[in-house]
Amino acid sequence: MKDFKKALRPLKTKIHINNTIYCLTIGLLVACSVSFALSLASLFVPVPFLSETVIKAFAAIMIISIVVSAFLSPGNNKVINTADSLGLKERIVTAFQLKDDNSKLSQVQRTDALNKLKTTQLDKLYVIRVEKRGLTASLVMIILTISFFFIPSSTRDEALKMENVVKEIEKQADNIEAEKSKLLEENDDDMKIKEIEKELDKLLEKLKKTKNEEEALKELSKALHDLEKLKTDEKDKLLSRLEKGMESNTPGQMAKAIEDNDTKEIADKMEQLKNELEKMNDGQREEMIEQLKQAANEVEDEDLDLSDDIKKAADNIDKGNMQEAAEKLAEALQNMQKSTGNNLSAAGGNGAEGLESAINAARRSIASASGNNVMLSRYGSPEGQSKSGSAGNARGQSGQGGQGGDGQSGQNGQGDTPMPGRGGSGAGDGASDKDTGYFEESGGGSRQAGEGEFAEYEEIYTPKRLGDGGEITNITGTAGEAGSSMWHDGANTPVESGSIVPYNQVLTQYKQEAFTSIERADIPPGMKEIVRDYFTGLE
Amino acid sequence: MQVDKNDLDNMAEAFKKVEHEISRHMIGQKSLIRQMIIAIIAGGNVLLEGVPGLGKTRLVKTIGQVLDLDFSRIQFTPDLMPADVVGTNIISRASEKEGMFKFQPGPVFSNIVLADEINRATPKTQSALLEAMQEHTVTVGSSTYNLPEPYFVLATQNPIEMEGTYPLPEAQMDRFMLKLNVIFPTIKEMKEIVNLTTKNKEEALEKIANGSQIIEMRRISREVPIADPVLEYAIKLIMATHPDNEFSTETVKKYVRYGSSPRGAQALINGSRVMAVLEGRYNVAYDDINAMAYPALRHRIFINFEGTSKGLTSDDAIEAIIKELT
Repeated sequence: MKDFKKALRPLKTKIHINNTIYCLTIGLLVACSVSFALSLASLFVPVPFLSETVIKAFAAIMIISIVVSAFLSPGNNKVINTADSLGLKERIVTAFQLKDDNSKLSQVQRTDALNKLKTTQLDKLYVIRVEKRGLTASLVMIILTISFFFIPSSTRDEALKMENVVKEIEKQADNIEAEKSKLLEENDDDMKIKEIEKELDKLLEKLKKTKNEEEALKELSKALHDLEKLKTDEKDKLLSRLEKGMESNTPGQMAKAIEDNDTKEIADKMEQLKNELEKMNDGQREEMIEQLKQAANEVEDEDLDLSDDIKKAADNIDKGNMQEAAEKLAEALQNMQKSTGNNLSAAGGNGAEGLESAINAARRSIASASGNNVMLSRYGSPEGQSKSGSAGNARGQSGQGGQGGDGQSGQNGQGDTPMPGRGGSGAGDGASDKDTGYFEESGGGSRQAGEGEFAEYEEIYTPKRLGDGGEITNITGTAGEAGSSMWHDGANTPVESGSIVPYNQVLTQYKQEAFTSIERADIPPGMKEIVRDYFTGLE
Repeated sequence: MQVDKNDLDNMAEAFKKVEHEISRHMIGQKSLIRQMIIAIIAGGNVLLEGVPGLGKTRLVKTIGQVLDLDFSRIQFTPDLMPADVVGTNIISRASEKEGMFKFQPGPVFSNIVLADEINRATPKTQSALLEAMQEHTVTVGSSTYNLPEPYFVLATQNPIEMEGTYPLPEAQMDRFMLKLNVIFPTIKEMKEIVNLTTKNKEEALEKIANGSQIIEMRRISREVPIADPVLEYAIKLIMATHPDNEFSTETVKKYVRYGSSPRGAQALINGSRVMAVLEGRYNVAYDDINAMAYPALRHRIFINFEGTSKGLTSDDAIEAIIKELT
């Protein structure tokens, strides 16, 4: 049978070639169909990175076709049947069947089959067929696909915008990555840095997966919040221990005073702390000492000085030297404030500041690339709220997984109305899109947010409240009902003499301020035009 | 005794000589002659169908002469009795001292029996041939007589005269290995036929083979190997003639009443084996099966009323089956 197989080899090769051509033709047809469908779909729905997607899909399908075709080598039966069908009249299949039969007739049959096989040029008789219809259909679809690329469509613009967002996200991810590397180079051994690195890795991973600006901004805000939380964890832990030990919130108030750099308040609170220490009974003292020792041990690895201060405070309490204990505690709180300040310098110096800036810059750039008129703050709180929301008061209390619905009351309270706005009761940070760190400017009340005075706004939507234990945010003003505003028709309202001025007296000033404000980089050109047109129209 | 190459080659050569010799005396009808010889070598009976005057009887006579076989002719008529076919016991003077009756063999006691216009006889007489055709024996009274070997019945029937005819019953039709259609000759052939048959003296026929050679050829042909796929194809072909079978085609399902019996498969394979040898091959091919399918199955497939009213023939059904299976 070896002779047979050898004689059949050219035919086998040719059948394989034929199978390959067929497979590639089918692959081409499928690839063209997919490309055609994508390009057609892009006319109706935005398909970002259309050309890349089409090329990738096309290439993937063709690669699969090539790989599959490599396995399409014909089996023996196929080759034998094909050979027989090419004029050998079932000689080969019979010969293979009789291969173990040694009768005279079987030998005669085999010899006859082999002779016939050798004298028949099977490879010439076997014609390689090209699927002309498939190729034609493919060609037509390629032409249509390419032509669809040149048909203008609004969905294309949307897709382009989406592409810009994705590119911006990638770019910003790279920037954050670079900042991270810088930070690591400067502080490779720091425990805190390792935690920051972990957070950043998480952020980068999520950023790479995000495909729209909303998700990206949400992740960035969350990362920023997590970093901030990381910083304040120790402080919170220490304060918690002190307050638990003393059964008083004086340490927290003192820490606040230190943070605000309020010298008078610091002195008051230190005196209060000393008094409270002195008033403690033995059991409370023991508890306090125990809490302080535990706190000292917890921070020992990361901040030895802070640990020493806390231990000294514990010793002084143990010795009954309350004045020194209070001083040491104040010192510890101050050190802690330094080490866990409002930036990451404690952990990473300038690199950490750069990282924070990079994340904030990323948020601005991504928001800008998305084409939305957005305003950002550190935590994605709705800074767009106007501080002129006169008496808009909100006593927000975040609940577990609060939906933030009530949080919109901030907007209710804003505006130009002279009447007291009613603040919402909820500062929930849940599903509100304000958590993403931006909101679209829509209300008149937000006009004044364009001033850029972010730091002066109350952060009633801060995501750090998310899932926390119901921390309370107090905002000055009169508490009102949730989520509604009161209004009056101004026409019948008694107006104080001189409180109303003709608009032309203030127009120039307002216009000037508006024009100055809109020069900010993160305001899209389209929105600038609207503001300009508005003021021009008033003239 | 094992069949070798020489046996097969000699058989093919003898076949060609027979074919050539018959063709010399029988103008045209090449396919008919070949299939007749195939049936004789394969050991089957043949039903010839054609209008009168196409040389059916001449062909049978010629074959008998070329193969050096006894030949007898029975002209079937409505009043023909079974005893006229198989023979009967008669009172014999020579046997008076010994007994009263002596068996007088009928015309079936011959190597080749030409049953001319078989459908003119009554079914009772037609059935007298059944045992002879299948068993190659004749039973009269309590005695059974063997027929000479090789033994063939070559029957003819006229398709256009239906008045006063008795169509062959299915059981008898099945006993014919092949049913061959005798086609009308072309002008050229007709001219040659006239020239050949209107002379005072015809050329003498040469005896190419004899009875024992025919039997040997039959033995040799049955040794020709057939591959499993080819055999399976033949079986599928037979199965496909049945309207309720999974292999049957739409045409069969719609227009066929009955399909072929297993005898059809035997006829198909035996005929194909002989054909392979004649083609100079030592194995059976699909082409042999396809070629033999028409004569072997056309009288075994019965078209229903709907098919008949549409002018469909069993050959059309066979063609549809082959097309479907290949």
